[in-house]
Amino acid sequence: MSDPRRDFETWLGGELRRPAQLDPGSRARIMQRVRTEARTEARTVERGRASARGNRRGWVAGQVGALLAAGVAGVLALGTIDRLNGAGSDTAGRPVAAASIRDTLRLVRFVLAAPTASSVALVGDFNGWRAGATLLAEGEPGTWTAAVALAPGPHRYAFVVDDTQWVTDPIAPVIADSGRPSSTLFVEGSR
Amino acid sequence: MEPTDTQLVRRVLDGDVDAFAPLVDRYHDRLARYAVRMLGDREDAEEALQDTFLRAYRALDRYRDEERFGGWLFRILVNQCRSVVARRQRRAELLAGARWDPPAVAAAPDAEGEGEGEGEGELREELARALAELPAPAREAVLLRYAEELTYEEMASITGSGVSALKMRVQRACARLRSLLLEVDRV
Repeated sequence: MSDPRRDFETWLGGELRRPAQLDPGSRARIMQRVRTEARTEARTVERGRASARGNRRGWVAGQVGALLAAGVAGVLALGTIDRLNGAGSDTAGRPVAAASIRDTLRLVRFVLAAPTASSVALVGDFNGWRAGATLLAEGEPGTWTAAVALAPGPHRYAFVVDDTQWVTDPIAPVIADSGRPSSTLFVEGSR
Repeated sequence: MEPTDTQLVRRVLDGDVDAFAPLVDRYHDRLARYAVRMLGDREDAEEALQDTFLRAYRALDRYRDEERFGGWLFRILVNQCRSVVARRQRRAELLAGARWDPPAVAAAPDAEGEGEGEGEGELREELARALAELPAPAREAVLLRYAEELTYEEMASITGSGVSALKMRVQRACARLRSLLLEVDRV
């Protein structure tokens, strides 16, 4: 005996599994965006030294390390911005993109896991603590990142979520000497 | 032999961006089907699809071999579609302070069916309209269950909802769809 509910579900499944085509150029447009991304992204940085806050994060391959596994937020030195003659190795023989902008800056990627945020900004001594100066982009849903070229030496920073919420990096040292608390990092490299 | 998803991912991570194209080819139609039915609008669906692949590309080094690439991609798409729905709702609230009217899904029901009867086409349009009447979480659950044929455990891992909540949602959504389609029949 037929079961009307089951019959309906069978029919529904068949209908919903029918293809729903998009414009024939859809695949090409996707690849166009991916190629544009590949060109504009700082993909020349193949490997970086996790110099911010010592060697805690160890080595990372590629663009993003295993930062999220470590905690809620963080900062990752990707290495210096590569030039044609930039690749070298450190004392342990590991590759380092040694050259940088005028040989002084290192590219540091800041990452914040904020699944419910609509916007995340980075503020710090390197951008005058202006909330609109460095916006993080949402890569994977809920993960916000920005790469910033920083001079070697100490820096203080914080995140501003949804224009209102001041968030320090919970796995970095925090200083609260005056005003709002801020996180600290030290970028290695010769000045 | 065709390279596996994992082999293609490795090639992309090694700098061969063209190796991403076969991944797009492999998963495009399945993702498009979900996005069109979920959003009821081909332009929004294409945008969601583009953003999904782009996000996947950006996050590729976080993809783990033990996870199926298709499932990983699908999770990104589901979140992407949720963002589109939420954005529409926010915009509608801002503009009118009124209930959001879903777009006319009937405008994008299916792939143009060849040789289908007139009655079949009408029924499909009615189904598209009925789907649009469902709240977004219910529509999402129905599509994952019946179009993607996922198990409830797989659905739970993608949506973040519990298995029993999902079962209930699917059951209610089916009952609602049936009653909407029967209403149309009676008119």
